[in-house]
Amino acid sequence: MKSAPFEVFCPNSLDALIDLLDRYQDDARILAGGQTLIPMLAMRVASPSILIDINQVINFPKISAVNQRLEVGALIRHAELEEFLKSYPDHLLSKMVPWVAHAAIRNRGTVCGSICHADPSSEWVLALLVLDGYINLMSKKKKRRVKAKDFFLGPLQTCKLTEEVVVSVDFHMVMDGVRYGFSEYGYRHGDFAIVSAAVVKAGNTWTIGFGGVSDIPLVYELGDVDEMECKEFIEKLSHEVDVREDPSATAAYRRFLMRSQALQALSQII
Amino acid sequence: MTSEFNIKRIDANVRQKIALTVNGKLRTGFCESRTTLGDFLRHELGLTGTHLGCEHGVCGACTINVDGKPVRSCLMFAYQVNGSCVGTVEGLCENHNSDHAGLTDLQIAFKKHHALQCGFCTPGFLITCEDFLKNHPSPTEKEVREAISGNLCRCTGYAGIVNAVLEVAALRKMKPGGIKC
Amino acid sequence: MSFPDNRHFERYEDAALLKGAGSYIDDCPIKPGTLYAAILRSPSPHASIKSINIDKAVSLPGVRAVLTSQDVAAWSKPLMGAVKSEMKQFVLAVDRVRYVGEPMAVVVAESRALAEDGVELIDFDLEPLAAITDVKEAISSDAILLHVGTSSNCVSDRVFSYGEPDRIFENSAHLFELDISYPRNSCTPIETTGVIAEWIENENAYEVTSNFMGPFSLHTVMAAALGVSGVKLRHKVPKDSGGSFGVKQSALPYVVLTCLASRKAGAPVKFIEDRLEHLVAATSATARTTHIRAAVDQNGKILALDYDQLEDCGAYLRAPEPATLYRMHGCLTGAYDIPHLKVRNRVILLNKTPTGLVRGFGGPQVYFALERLVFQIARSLGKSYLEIAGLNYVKKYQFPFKAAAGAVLDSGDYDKAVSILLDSPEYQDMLDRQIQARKKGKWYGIGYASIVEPSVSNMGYISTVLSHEQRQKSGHKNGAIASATVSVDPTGSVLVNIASAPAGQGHQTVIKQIVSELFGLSGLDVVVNVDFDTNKDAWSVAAGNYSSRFAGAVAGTVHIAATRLKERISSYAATLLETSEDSLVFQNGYIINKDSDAKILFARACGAFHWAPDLVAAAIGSDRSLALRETAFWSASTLSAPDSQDHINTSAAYGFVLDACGIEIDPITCKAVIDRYVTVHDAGKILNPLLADGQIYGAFSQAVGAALFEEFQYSSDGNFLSGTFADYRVPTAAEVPIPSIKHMESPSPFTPLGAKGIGEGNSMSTPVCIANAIADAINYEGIHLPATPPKIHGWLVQAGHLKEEPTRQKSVRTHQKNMPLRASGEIKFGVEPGKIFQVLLDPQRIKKIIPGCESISQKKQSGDIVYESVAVVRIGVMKARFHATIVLSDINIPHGLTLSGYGKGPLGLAEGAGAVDFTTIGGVTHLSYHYQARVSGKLSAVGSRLLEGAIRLVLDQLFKALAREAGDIKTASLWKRLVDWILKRAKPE
Repeated sequence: MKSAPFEVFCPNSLDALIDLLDRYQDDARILAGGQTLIPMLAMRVASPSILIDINQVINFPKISAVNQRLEVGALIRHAELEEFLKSYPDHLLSKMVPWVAHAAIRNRGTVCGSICHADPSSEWVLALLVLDGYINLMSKKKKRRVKAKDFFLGPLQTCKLTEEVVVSVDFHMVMDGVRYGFSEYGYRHGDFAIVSAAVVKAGNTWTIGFGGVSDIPLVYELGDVDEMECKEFIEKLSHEVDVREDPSATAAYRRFLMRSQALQALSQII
Repeated sequence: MTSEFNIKRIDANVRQKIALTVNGKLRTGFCESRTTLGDFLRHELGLTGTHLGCEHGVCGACTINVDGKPVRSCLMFAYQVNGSCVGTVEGLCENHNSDHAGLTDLQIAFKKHHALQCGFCTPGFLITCEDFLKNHPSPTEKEVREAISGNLCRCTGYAGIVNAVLEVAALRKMKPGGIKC
Repeated sequence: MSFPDNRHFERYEDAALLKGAGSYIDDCPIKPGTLYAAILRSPSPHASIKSINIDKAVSLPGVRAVLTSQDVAAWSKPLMGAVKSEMKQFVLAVDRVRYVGEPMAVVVAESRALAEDGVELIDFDLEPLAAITDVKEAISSDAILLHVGTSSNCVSDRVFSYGEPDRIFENSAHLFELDISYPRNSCTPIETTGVIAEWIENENAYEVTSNFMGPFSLHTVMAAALGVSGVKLRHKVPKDSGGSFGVKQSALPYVVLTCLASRKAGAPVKFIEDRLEHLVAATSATARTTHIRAAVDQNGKILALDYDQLEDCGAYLRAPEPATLYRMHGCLTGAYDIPHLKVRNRVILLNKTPTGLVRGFGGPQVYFALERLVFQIARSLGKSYLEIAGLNYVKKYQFPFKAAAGAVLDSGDYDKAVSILLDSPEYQDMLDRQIQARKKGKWYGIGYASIVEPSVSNMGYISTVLSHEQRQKSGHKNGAIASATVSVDPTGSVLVNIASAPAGQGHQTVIKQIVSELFGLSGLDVVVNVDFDTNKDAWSVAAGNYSSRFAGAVAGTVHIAATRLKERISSYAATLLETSEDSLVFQNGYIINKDSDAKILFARACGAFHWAPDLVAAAIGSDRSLALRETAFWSASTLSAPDSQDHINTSAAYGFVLDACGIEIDPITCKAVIDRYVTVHDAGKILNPLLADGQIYGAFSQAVGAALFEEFQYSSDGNFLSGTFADYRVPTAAEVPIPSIKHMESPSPFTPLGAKGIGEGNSMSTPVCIANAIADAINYEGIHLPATPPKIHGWLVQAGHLKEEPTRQKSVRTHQKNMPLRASGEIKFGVEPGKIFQVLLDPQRIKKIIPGCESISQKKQSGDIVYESVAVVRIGVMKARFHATIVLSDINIPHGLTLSGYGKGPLGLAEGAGAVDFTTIGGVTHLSYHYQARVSGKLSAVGSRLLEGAIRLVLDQLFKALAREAGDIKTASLWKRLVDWILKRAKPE
């Protein structure tokens, strides 16, 4: 399983990077952590003629929590986020990070890379949708800031244009008065989630998100309901929403897991 | 269309020379842009202790240290470690000359607990376990199992591996500075 | 014989392996000028090969040759099989491809990467045929025949009868029967197959190094395929192999293929199978469908068994298949004394990977049927499993016991194993935990399995597939010859050569142990060479490492050879020490006269044989051999060929395993959690307890995989879906508990050391033990493996423990078997249908809606509109180029049409068809589509989890583009509407 040949550019500034993207457009793919891209190259399901390796770019934002938002720059590895989040053990992101693959993958893979890949089971994709996330994109022509729900279009598909790079993403990061719960189930430790459930309770407003159930994580906001009504909503949702079926799990099982994982997440809050 | 920027570029199908530190020694070798780090270590540098079991990052057999952290050598390209520090199973200990001396305490424990049979996954486990023990000196069995769940073994059923790691953790707490050469 | 207390010998092999100094196939030195091979493999499960064009591949710089099926037909013969049929199996597909992954051509280049570049440049045209994925379908009257010239996809149908089963079945008090199916899986070693081959033109011979592990009966198959005699195919095996578990028997076709590639290229060629190739196309255990019946008396004694076995052997019967069926034939009655037996074995070919050796080899399939049935018999009769099993077990006094179909069970004490289980605190704890769990309403079950574990296969067993008359013609086959050479060199150190091809079992350690103890030497003075070379080692058709033959056969043969040498040395030493041979003791490097304490260095005594042979001859007699080298061949005396009544002793030794397992079904995830596991083993004389336990832990771990996680999945249209290690789920340390092991020893009277094999027991017992526990936990009988959480969820629903979930929202029309992927959607247009049709019927306008369309042309066809196009489908970072044919048919303006397409590209083949309907409601046009598709090849193998979603995405893009082109930009998809609807309902009134 050897990649097809490619040329590599290693820009060391954002300006150089976006210039390359503008120049090469669809012929180029960005290489960040490589934990998702390199297997695809090895299997030759992706064979770009050009890779733009962004690992030497020095002026991406790093990681910072300011004004109740957490910004995570393009080159922040899952492991670095994990380290940063040790100061916020009760936050949703902190609860999610142990579920992201395995240590060796977390040492290289990037949060932003995972988000661009937009796998329906990705923890960070779910987090962005549930935590009022934004994706900060840059191209030679412009910068734009896209709401998470407008960014994800389908499985593995986002609205990022080929000439754009994700510079950073940011999430809502509030601890006061907000409770978080997360649960996911995959068959083996470290596997992608069959179903994941994230719950955020801010006062009487609940935000509930499900990953792995559909092509994009599903997110619902319930205002002014109590715990009982929330559980009823989840029950009804599990019966009514259109749920994926694939060789790894039946639709019926996913419905069952929606309820069980949501209840597990809820139990961390209540 | 020349760029105003001075950007490092590697052509496809052209061999590049890279230089890096491997197991404490400066090494140089040639690679193409698409040569993975795992293939480079094995075939260019002759360090065949790192094994390729799947080439898509799941089995963990190819795990090595880059700049002190475990990574999958099948999920990096060789050119990416130009100037970096790489550690492989061969570098866990410097003395290769005798049967029993020259093994680290973890390797001795692996031997004692029959934590390897065919040995193909073993280098990846050793790198993973050393890193884990460094960061988790008092693990529970559950923590050990989860930490090594990114490395697949078909021969041993993991029994000996788990027991070896737990024993070494206990021994190192009694006697800090565990690695013997 | 006695063993020293250091039976816990740590392994000699470990120091090198721990330091990364192993010598696996990819580490072996290669000659300068060695080239590398990559294989073009079929993306389709069944197709006619219309054309293959290698011109572009051959012209790629760095590619040195391409091996085609024409070369293969010219330079080789089809692989021989155990069953005569019209099926022809060349190592490259000729005329037809019959399974996903079947090799079609080999590119040889200066690097593996370049070879893969070359593979992508081969153009080929396949015409798909209907693919068969199910054994019953394969033998139905209208099934397509996989092999022209055969009369059926069932290439062998044999019926056996022992005793009077029909009479017994007619008169029995109880009749129990069960249908089971066993899935395809494999032990997928972490190291894949590797071959380095060179054609020696001057000698018309081939030299090969590979990690093939035997049986070396297949050496004759390889040589015959290559058209050379056995001595002209030199086969070497490096000393280290990264696990085999039988799976590296599948090196067989690659040895032949790489040899031919070398011939084509005029240079040595190296082929290392990658993981994708291994999962798709290396091998698999057979899938088996069995209908099993038991005639049982009122007490629960089983009087007769009836097996009707349908064996899925894949697209070709690859030697030694159908050995999976026949390896267990003699002991189909398992651990039980059942005198009447009826068997029907049907060997079926269908469009999946050819099957072969996988640890357990026939045992898991047989015991899944037998032990599920016995477990059910107990439950139905209101008795415990142990009571029923105990009632039926072969008794200690009956050994050696001849089973109905001919197995001679050599030794055992099954009742003692039961006592060991009952006495074990772990088992008592399990019983207690079940009681406590059930009090809390938890689903906690206890399962059992008893199996006999055959080892040291009788090479004649495979001929049981032939009738007696056919066997008379083709010749008698029997035995399990093991060979070993022991020699002492002039410095007094010992060298042992064994033809065993180990892959981690510690053979060197055990042999060192045996030999050093025998000669009274330290292990450091004994070297065991396991580098195998057919031109230099003593070997036989049984050589290699499979059917757990090491302990029983190989180790024993070493002991025989070493003992003969020892006798010779003793004769001489006795004269030197002036005593009789019986008074000699070999200890600490000396040979000692135990009466006088006079002693001589072992090395000195041996040295005389080399340096002063006259002295030795004078001392021991000139008619005695003076060689300090002894080669022994051994075969168990009980391994005869099948007799005229088809009785066959399929193995020399039979161990026994009794397992009990406590499983709790987790109510949150429906997963089966192994709470407690006890396994009682009788493998005869244990040679090294540390290694014996290691084998048990390993087999157990793989069996947990087979029981709960692993399956080679195929879609209903034959596409392979488990192409990565993310899809084929090998359990990790977080999923595999440590079982409690209890040993007992009933030495075999038939092996030199009394030892039996121990490597396959849990492969056979654990899957069915777990299945029984799950059945007990949820009170449901239709358990089949792997018992994954979604399946358990389904069973919980069927057993009434959980409510049924609603079916999918979107109604789907006829779900065709050969179009398993579905996508439906609805889009609203602000323009009338006529405008949309205008776009569809205009090639220049439809070009704008086909994803990434690079070109389009229209073909005239009566009634239908046909477009030929090159489309580039983009999903995430992937860009898949397809040469596509798009057909618009059933055109019914303005109501609807059928839109179908067929695309072919490097990532596979895609085909889909769907109905597109238009309805106008209040000025808004609703376009609804119901699409069915199939995808073959790489995309299917590595992307099965996301395929349907990807298809939805592509169709969504297509129809949105259609809307834009037709002049309307307002669209909405059905599911988004549904979500809005739910959200509205969620908000409080």
